[in-house]
Amino acid sequence: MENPDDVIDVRLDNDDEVEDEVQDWKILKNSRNSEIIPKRGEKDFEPDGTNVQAKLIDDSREAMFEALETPRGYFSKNRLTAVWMKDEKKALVLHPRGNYFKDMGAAAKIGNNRHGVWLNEIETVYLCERGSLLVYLGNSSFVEYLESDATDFDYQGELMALTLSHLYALAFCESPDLLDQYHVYALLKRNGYLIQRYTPKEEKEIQQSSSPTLTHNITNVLAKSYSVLKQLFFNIAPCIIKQHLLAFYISSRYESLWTDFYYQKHHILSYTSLFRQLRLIPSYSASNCHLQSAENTSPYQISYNIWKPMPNFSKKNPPKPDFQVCIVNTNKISFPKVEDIRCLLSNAEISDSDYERPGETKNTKAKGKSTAQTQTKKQMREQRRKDRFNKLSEYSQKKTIYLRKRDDMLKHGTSGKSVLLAVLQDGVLNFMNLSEVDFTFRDSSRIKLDNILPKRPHEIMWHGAIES
Amino acid sequence: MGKRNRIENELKHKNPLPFVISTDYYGSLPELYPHNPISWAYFLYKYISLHAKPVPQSILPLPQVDFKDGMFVVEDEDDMHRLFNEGFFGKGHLSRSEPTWNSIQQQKLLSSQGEALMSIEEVTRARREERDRFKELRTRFQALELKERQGILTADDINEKEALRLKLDEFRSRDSRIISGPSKETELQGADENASKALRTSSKEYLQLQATEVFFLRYALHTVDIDMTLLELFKKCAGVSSVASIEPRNNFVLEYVVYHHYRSLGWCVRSGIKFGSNFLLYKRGLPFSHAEHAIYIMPEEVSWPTISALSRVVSGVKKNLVLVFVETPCQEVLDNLLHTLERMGNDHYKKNLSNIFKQYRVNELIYRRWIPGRNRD
Amino acid sequence: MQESNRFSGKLSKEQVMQNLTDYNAWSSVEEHEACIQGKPTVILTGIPPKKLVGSDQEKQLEWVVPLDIARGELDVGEINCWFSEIERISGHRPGRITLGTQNDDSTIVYYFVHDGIVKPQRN
Repeated sequence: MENPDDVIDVRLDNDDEVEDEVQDWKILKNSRNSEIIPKRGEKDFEPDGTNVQAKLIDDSREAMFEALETPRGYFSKNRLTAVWMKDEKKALVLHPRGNYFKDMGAAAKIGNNRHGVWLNEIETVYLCERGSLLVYLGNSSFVEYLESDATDFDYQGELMALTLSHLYALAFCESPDLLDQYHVYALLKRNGYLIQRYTPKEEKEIQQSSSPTLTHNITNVLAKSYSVLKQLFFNIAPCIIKQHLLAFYISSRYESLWTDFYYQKHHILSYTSLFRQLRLIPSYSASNCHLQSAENTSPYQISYNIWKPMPNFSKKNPPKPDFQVCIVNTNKISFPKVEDIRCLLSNAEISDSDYERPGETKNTKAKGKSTAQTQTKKQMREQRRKDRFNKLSEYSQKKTIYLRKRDDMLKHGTSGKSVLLAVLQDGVLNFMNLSEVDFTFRDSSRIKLDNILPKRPHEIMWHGAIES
Repeated sequence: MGKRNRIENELKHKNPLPFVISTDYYGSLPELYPHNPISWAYFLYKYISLHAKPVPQSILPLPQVDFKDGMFVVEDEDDMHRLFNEGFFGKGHLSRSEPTWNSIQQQKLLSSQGEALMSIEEVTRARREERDRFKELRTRFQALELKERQGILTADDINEKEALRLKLDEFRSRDSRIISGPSKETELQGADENASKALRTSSKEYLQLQATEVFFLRYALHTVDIDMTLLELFKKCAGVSSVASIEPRNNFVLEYVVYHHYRSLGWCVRSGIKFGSNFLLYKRGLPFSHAEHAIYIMPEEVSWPTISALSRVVSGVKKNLVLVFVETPCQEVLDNLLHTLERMGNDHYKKNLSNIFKQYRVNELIYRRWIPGRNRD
Repeated sequence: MQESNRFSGKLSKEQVMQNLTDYNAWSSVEEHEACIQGKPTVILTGIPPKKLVGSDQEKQLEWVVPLDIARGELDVGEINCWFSEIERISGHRPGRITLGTQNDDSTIVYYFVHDGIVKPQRN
């Protein structure tokens, strides 16, 4: 019988607890000199007839103007200049500098050994809008300069500087989808993510992964197979024999559960076997199913690979993306059909990172200062949980890990495949996570659970007090 | 849940389904030791002798379900509790879930001072009342705050305001989920009067089963009796007078297929009506933990506002939203199978119904809001 | 309204009445004959044991429309009909009606339907 004390339940923090409302600009004013992010106050429910509320709003507005009025500038040493090339629909940066090109731009080689970086429409507008890039409109004299050996070019004298709205028009006029993409790109970028346009995987990538630690693998396999054999003899064989006897008995009668009067004639020996026999409805996971969808005709395609901020990102050799984004404009398309989702997920990368519980590791430290009171309570609970866990027997510890893993997989996906839908409606942007889940735990998810506690009926959530 | 309570619940809800397992009824089979041939012989002996005995399900009386006024009801007190306790089937029509109304009314009548046990409904009521008291204090506090803003706060007001502030803080710091013991105030006069009146007029609670539940109990488990054939029950549930008019996306068939899928995986499946979804999945059952997953069967067309509203409601109650896409057979295949079902007759209903359900496939997806600022590190 | 091809109980009226009296402890629960869009139906009245909303009167009479959710979608025309029927029965148009929706597991979920825009309730 399962002792409920052994099973420690940790409820997850809910994403929706974060209110995504408009910032109060006063916060900026007050916190300019401190690292502590102030807490939001309680909202008033309705106007109270005094001028206190109006004054609060005025103060906030004032703070906003004040913040916006602060002169913005850059050191002329860091000035970044680009020239918009109409024919290419890209901007050329001849002297790239600064931190922006870690994930932006593509190397450009022009004329006689002239190097630079091409920025696409979206990247150009993003950098210009945040005030990091001065964009000029290219003309014939600039093209001549590019083809010549001249070292200097008088941007200010020869070219026209573009206003932001002019640049918007040039960049996005032909394809309205680009504007949608820009909204998504800019929001993620401002949140610190590293972004690359998604290109469908190529064959060669698959080959690369197989070679490295072959010998290591062999020893691993040998070690594992010994323990498997041992287990097979002493634990599993009796079980299998028991079950086979039963199966033989059933097949001798040549009947299945799905015939009438089955229960009047057949002994059921455990709830586990009853549940197993009740399985009737076929299920499949989205990405590997019997039906292949019409791949490239679907309007739902992955647009971006994105990564959490990291110090050594390489554009040429990026690691597996942390998330993949599909942009959906609700004015144009409806909620995806199962075929579309199937297609999306079959192109998605499998994330192999284990889901991290909020507050369990580094997060506690980072948050520690700001919300001292609630945090200590949380930490205390966390500590108590750890203490209790350490007191458990080895089996109970394993079982706790096992059950938690199983719950996590059902909450965050069993295969590790997921796609973010960036849902746009008239400029309002929301992200939704769509993850593949399989409540029957097949394939890779079964292996993951077998690695913790092997040969259990993982898919049967509760099979009564008696363990099979 | 206190420890004693938990042990009580463990015993009360020991069986995951209202189905008697032969080894529970006749005693379990002996252990098998691979090194010991005697254990093998003993096991075989016990195994064979068990199979010589009648199946418990065939000799025990089954709970009786009646179809009355368009509802599936169980009226026998023991049957009601058996179906609810073993797998959480049905709902007491005068209770939130477990049919406790009859016994609570009885207790109330018997105990002169109304010192009855606190039912879950009363716990909720008490919690709401506490919330109301909090709101009252808050309103008073804010009225004083307004006076302060208007500059007409007296010295007494200042004292009262400070006292209120402390009380409100205490309210806020209290864990609202835990309510300690019943309070006298929770006894509702009206309810008591109604209770005695109800008992006098012999009003009685019954257990109401959903169509999916009845069908699962009768068709998949054959663990209830109902006064109609399986085919009649199927037509009743599907809302048709003739099977020929069943369409591939018949509401009942879709719901049943999904219900059966999760039941066969050992989940406790309950109605999801309160959260705009089809079902809620509980890991073991209602008293053990909150439902973890809300199941939504995807219609052929779904609007963005619908799915967004659903997602917010479900995540607001800290549940996981699972979208279930059901792939259906085409009308022609279904028609053939339905025809066979009708033609082959009584002894083959179960098999032919199974052949129909097997044509449906389920595909699950998790749908959850993702916030850029929260997934960065 | 679409004919919904699904299982549905017929007794929403009785179940809602019993739920109001026995579960929610309402008193003087009564039924009134009404006719909504050509169909005879029943609207209930009753008095809740305490105010449903802070701004209500003590012992305020509530109008409850029982409804089986399996029967399909609602439209504004029908909702308006309830208000005018109640006005015909009682002589005045209520500002608010309570909708008692019944599910096939006997769950009754109540919703307020207001006659126009009202100030939201404070949580």
